Amino acid sequence: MLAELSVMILRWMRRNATGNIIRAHQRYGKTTAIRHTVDILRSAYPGILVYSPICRSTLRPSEKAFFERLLFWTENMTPCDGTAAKMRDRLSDFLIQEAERSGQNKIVFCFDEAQKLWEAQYDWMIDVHNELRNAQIDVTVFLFGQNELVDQRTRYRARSKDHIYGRFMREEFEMKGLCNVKEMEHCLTSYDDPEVTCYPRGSGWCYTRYYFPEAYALGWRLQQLAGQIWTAYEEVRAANGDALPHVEVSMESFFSVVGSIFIDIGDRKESSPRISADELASMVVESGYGSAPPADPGIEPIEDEEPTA
Amino acid sequence: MTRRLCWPLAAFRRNESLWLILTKACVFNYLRSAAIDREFRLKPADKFAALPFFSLRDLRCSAHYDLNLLATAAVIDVAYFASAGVDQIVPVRSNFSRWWSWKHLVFCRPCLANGFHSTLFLLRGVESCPLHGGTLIRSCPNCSHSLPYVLAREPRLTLECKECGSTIGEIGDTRRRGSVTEDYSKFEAALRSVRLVCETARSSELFVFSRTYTAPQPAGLAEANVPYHGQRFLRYVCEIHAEEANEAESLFGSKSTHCVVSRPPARRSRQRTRRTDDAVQQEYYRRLARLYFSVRRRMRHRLKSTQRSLNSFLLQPGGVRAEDWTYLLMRAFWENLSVAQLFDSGRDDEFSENAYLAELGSDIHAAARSYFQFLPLTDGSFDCEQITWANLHAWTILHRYLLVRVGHALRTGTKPEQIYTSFGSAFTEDAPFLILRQRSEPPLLELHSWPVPEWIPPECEDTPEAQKGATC
Repeated sequence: MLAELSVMILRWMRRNATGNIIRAHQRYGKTTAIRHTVDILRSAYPGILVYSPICRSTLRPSEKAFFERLLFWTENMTPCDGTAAKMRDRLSDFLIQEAERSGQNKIVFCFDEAQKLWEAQYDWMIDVHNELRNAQIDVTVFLFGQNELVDQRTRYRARSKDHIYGRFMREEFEMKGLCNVKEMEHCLTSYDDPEVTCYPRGSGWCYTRYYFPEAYALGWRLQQLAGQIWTAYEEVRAANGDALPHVEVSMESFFSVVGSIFIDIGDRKESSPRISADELASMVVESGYGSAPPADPGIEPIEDEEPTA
Repeated sequence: MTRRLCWPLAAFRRNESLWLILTKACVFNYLRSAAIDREFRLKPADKFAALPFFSLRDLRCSAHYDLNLLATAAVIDVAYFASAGVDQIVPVRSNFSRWWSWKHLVFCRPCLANGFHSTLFLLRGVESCPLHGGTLIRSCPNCSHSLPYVLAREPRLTLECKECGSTIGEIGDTRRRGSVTEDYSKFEAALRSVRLVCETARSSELFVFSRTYTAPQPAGLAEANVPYHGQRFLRYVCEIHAEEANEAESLFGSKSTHCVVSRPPARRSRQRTRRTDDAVQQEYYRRLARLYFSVRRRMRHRLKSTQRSLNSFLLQPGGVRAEDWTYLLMRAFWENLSVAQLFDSGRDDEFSENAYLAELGSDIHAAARSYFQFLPLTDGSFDCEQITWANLHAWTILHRYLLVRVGHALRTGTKPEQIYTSFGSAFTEDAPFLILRQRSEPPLLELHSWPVPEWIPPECEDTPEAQKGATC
């Protein structure tokens, strides 16, 4: 998924796009994708300025608060000083100077939780965009947010807010979870490869070798569990009825399951680790996939006391 | 996370003053001075510990600000701020403002129009811009009120007089590349010379300036005055560099010789002695004598030993410094008189005060005899006529400087032979030789000295340098 995102991001950058949407369900790894995007952009465009502000929930849009947050995320020394107008000027001048120093005439904003942006805040962002364009600096805005962004885009389009729609929301990219066993196997392979994931850091060991040293020495790899884990997800989905149309595993759930395997199963010190389907199903449910986790059987439920008359 | 300021590289140059740096930082970041102070000013405790001679809002003192943090925020080398404060150039002592720098804003209008202002303009004695050669502006042309050297509450690029409201100057907005036409790297040479002068003055109270600096002096100044005045010397430095920058004919000739210049004075009383008028000299000595006897009367129970007497005398606030003692000693020495005889040349109608002087001279002479053994000049060819008041004073201070260093070396256990070796190699060209021998019983230092090099007049440039021969 990140590989596809990288291709798309670089394509947009080559086209000098002004802004697009990257959307996904919650806990699908959007914030991690932002970090990945920053890395990709910095390697493709050395010295490029990439800022990743996190949007906050507010009752109403405030110009001062908006520019203060932007100054904060652009690492300005004095983000809170001055009036809103001065903050605007400071932000524009600051970004122009930073871009001149960077050697690139591009600045990228990756807004996290972009569905929280108000219409007025898009307008202010347009102002910044225009001022920087005046100084021959291209600004690209990637809106990372939940699928709610698509609804916003539809509304802006319906209300002929083309300056927002056309500038920041022209195209979209949907980040999906793990949709088949091959993708899951690919992810699990990373845990077996010390060149991809090294743990402890700098040791030259992979996660699988660290948690299953004996089994790893005998040739056992975590990727062998891909089919079993996938089956567990399917079983949990079946147990939850038809609430989920198809199996799509969020990255957080997947990482949680893998972490449980490492910690719980790794403690057994087996030369050929065996995991039962029930154990895996329990891990999947605990990871937040599907329904809420079942009550812990070891804890008795507290009986409600009747109100006294 | 390193937070940064908007710092257009084209708008800032090396060797700018802290006032202009902070003003520009405020203007370009749309900030009030309070915000800059909040971010970069050190805590009061640190400030007082650093430099107690400055007031808290004195921008001449760069030690009040965290320049490293400022350089980090500006993403530039901290060497850009090497000359931001006066304290980075001249030695900071008491009476700092009176003798070294102006408290108010002094600027060169063309430089300011190019967005440049240097701390060098604040130094007393600097009367012209080393780059443009024009006169510096010190006050409002309309009402003559001086401009405070502080950061305005809301700094702007326009300088206005607070009294009459007229515009005095304009700081050039040089954010765009190529907007500055002057080459301010030339300023570096002038500043380097000034720093050399001040650094040497800080460490040794004497500096040897090696550059084109032969006579004749500029008109209107007595010869004896020239090497005396550190302030004026700074002015010459700037004038020289202005000539070089503008490729004008040098006022000071073309032959490079060494000029020995004494440290600028620290008290008004010393200023009087610079005048060659004998009456003024006598007046200064009388003042010394009165001070000496007042101290002796008040503290006679502490003055049983000569060393205590000397210490008490030196430690008096506003009193006489060690240089004064040495000055008197050396003058008497060079004129082949006792100090008492030196003081005994007053007029008869001021008998009472001259009696003071004679007594003071006797005391000093006795004190000197107890510490130093002045050996007589053997060749007898010493010509007092060649000794100008200027180089006499300069060499006197040099002697004192050497004595301090030698005394320190002796206290730290260095053998006299080693001291001679080290000083002999250090001062073979510029200083008279000095041999010290230490006797253990009684504790005595033997001072052997050579004649002072001659002051080379302009018509005698081809004459050999001053002879340096052993005299004892």
